[in-house]
Amino acid sequence: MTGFAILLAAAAVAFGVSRRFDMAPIPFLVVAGMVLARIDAFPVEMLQDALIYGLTVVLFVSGTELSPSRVRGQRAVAVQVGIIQFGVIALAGTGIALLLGYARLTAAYVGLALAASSTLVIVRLLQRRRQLYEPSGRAVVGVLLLQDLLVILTIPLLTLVPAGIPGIARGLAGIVALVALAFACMRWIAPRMARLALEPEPLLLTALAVLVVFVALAIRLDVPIAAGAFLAGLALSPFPLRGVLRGQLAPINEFFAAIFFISLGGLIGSPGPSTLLHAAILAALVILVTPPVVAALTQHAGFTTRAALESGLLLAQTSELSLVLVLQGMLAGQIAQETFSTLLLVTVVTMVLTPWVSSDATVQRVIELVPGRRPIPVRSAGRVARLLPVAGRFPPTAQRATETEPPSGHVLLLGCGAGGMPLLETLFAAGHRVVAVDDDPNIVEQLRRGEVEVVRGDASDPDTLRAAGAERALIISSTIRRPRDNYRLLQTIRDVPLMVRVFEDEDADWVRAAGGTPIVYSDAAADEFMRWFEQFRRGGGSADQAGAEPAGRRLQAGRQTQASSHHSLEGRKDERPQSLP
Amino acid sequence: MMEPALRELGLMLIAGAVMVLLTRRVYMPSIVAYIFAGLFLGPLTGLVSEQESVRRIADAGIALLLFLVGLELSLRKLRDVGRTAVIAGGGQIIIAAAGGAVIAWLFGYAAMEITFIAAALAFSSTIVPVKLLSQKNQLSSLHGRVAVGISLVQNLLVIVVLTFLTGLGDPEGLSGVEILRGLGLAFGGMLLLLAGALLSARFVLPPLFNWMGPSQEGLLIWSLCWCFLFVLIAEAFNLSPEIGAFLAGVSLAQLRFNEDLRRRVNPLMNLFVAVFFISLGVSMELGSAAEQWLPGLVISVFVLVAELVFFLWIMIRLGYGDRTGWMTGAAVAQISEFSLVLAALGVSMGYIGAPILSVVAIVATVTMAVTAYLILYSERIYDWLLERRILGRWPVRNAALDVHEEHSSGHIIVVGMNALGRRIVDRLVALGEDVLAVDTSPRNLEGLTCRVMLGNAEHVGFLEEAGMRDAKLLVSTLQIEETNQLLAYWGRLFGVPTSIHAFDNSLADDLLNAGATHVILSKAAGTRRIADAFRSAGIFA
Repeated sequence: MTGFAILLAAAAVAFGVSRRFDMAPIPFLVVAGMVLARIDAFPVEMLQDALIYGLTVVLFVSGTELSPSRVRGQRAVAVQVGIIQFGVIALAGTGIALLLGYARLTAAYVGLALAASSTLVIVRLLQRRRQLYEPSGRAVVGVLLLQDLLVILTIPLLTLVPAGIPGIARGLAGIVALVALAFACMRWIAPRMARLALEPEPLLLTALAVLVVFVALAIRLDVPIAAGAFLAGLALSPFPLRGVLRGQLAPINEFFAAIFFISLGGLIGSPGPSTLLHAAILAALVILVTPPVVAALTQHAGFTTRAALESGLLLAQTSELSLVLVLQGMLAGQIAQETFSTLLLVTVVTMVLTPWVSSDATVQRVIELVPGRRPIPVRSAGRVARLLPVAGRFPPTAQRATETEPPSGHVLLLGCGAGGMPLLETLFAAGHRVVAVDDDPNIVEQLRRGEVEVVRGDASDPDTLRAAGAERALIISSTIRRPRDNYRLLQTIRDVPLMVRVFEDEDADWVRAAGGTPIVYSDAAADEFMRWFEQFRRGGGSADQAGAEPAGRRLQAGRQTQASSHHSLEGRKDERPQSLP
Repeated sequence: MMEPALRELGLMLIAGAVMVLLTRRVYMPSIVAYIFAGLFLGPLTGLVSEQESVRRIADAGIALLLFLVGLELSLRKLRDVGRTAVIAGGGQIIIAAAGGAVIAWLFGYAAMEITFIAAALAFSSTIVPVKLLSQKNQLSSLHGRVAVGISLVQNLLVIVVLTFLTGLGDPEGLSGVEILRGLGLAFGGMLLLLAGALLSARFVLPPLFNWMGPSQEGLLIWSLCWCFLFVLIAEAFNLSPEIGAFLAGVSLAQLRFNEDLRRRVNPLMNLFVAVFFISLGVSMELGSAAEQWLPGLVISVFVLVAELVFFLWIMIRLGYGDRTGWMTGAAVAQISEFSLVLAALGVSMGYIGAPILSVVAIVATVTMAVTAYLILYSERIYDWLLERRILGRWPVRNAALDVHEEHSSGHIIVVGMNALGRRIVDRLVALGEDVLAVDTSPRNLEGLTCRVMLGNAEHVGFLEEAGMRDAKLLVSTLQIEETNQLLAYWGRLFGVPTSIHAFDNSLADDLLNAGATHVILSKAAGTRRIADAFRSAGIFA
């Protein structure tokens, strides 16, 4: 009882400290455990239980959070970047470990542990910075998911190495069986569970029963419990089950995760000088090698330098799963406690440093150091303005965009996005020359195919603005996401009317103060909502009547907009462009 | 590698889940299903036996449950029903014990057996009514508070009885001095805890917890720590851990985010309580059940009928309506888990034989199962009784007492008080709509002209509390993809129209597929506004 009380109290302190510094609690929980062990207050009899229960629950919940849908649109990039990054760092890590004198198997563990980045830390940071849904955010999440999967799959492989080829084959067979079961669950059982609309408590019990079944099977098939728990989570991950479960699992996870990480800290106590040295070297490897590798890969995949650097710096730490990996190795007797301590230290240090390493300030500083920034902002040739009669008049003589001279007298759309198509068409119809700027490679490709003049680049970057002729535009509209970028924009552009799309009223205030015209799109959205609501209310306010029709219309309208933009991108001559009323 | 405790816990979880899924068709309350699962695992098949660690988890469940009760009810809410609880609870004890003694005597049991049976019948369960009322969100309702009050009063009595029993077991302990000392320690400790709870609620806890902030992971750990502290102190004073947990909850009750806290503790509590009921089933000594079924059944029927009638009568006499009387009676017309402990103690001390334990076990199972159904469907049963004019014949003597909470319906729930949410709220209120604004941050809920509710809309329990099932419309202005999808899904499931913010146009299709009635395409609206701005700037002239 007292042992449990000590753990709880230590967790409470760790959470308090992490709140004070506004950081993820994991490193502090580990340190709390280390401190407890140092002062000999750690309840050792609870260690084994705490580790196993904690491990199982943490991995189970990680499995449920594995959601490919979060990666939307960036799947190819994520797979490309993730696999290469994982391979490169793993090899580099293994190499350095061998140089440091570790045995081969141990070095393999070290390498793999270094290759994984922390889902918990990164997702938390992305949520805080509201960048989770940006293209680079999605790509990073995709990489994380891939890494999670790779680590989980390699755990059993490594632990089975001493059993030789037959042992590995058997282990692999066991894993494949469990993976198959997990996918079968995802396909058939999870949707049915969601449809059952169970009360929260039986739902939780059922989910835990699934966990128990997977873990029991894992033990039977000689597969590590970690993999079984993770696959159980994966089995329950499809929407909407995951969302429904999350509320129930969150406190269970918090509780067990806290106990788990404290216990990890309690395992090692105080590290010796060689441990510290090795930890420093390995941490340096992670922080200094991961960013350039990831940045180079993502830039190659089409992201701007800044987005690529941000992604790289974000991924520069080791993961809670790395700890799981090394723990399993230690429990299987394949690696020594010192190695575990080393990696634990690496994880704590890199996790703590991540918010600073990936901060905007650091990114700016590194950008200046990077040679040959890409992409060099280049405009693609744009189409000839339409020669269709508009209200009986013919538009002014069409201007053919020249490659070399920056445009002038044009309408500049910064951050065009897929939703900017109707606006583009209306501007064309009025005879204007339009130049778009966007950093999302998918969007840029779409626009290029539609023969729109587009500059691929970072809209707050002066070079990009120059290439887009910002100083000599007729009018500029900015739908850039980040307030800081808009601020820089307002400082740079002085003589051209600048409309800045903002959501919150505070943002509208400073835009106005800086000389721009805020377009408060939350206001616009509220107006449109109220228009729909009037209809809804008149229709009796039921989902069947007024609801279904607008939904249908919305769906069609949505498809229509996409269809029309698709059509106009294909440049079909027989279709009139959808212009705005 | 599987320790026996883990294996047994695993089996219990599986059996519990399977049983719940199987019995959904007969609308069986989950706790009854758990008891049956336990009966299956224990007495029936012998797959599982009582394990220390499992029992600890079960005990933790009860403590957490009382912690939640304390969180939800402040002392003030309970003070209102204090007198009622004492009178009704006291009366129940007398009637149940007396009647039970008579029936036992009629069945020809010995004097000691009659005593133990009477004592076992005297107490009604804490965990069954509290768990089910909490599930129905009726803990703070009138009958809920009365039921909890009765439970607490009886808990105090349990302490007295336990002190006596420990004295009985120990030869020297039976002296008056020892017993008084034990009681003094217990009640002294209780006063100490009460004082501690009230003082810390006033001075210590608000600054600490408000600093920690809402929706932070540490909130759960901190409150568990606090609860544990009280439990440890309670045990040091020979009090039950439940009283300690309850007082810990009370001290946290007036924090701003006590609801958020409740929702976080709930799943943990649910899990442990499920384990409790399953292990209750496992530990049921039904050995001689085959022979003792008649007395067991008769006594069960007596308990149910007598207590239901008694509560109807006493609550009406005290001035409440018969509906309240019915709901209260339905909640407490069972015997307690403590009754089983009492009987087991009696057997171990040689005062009674195993058959009596079986009788008590039968009564426990039957009364808990029946009242579980009664509690869950009490409104419907009351309406049925009303129709048949069995009830509804007595005027309410004191209408001021019998006040029921309003259910909101036909309102509009707006989730997410960002710029869009606030605008929508203002405009809906201007149209005269009944609006409930929801957000996870207290700051965002300041200065609004409508009703507000603090909490996380991801949790279906929160949505139920917000009255989603009866709402006219649910609007989400959140910029969180997954929560929005979930809200769309819940909307479709509950048959409530939803209007969800697709903060990126690409999300619209997914939201509609998940069940949203309407999507708010804010970026498209913004683009149209930009076009308007261009027009005003003369671009389209």
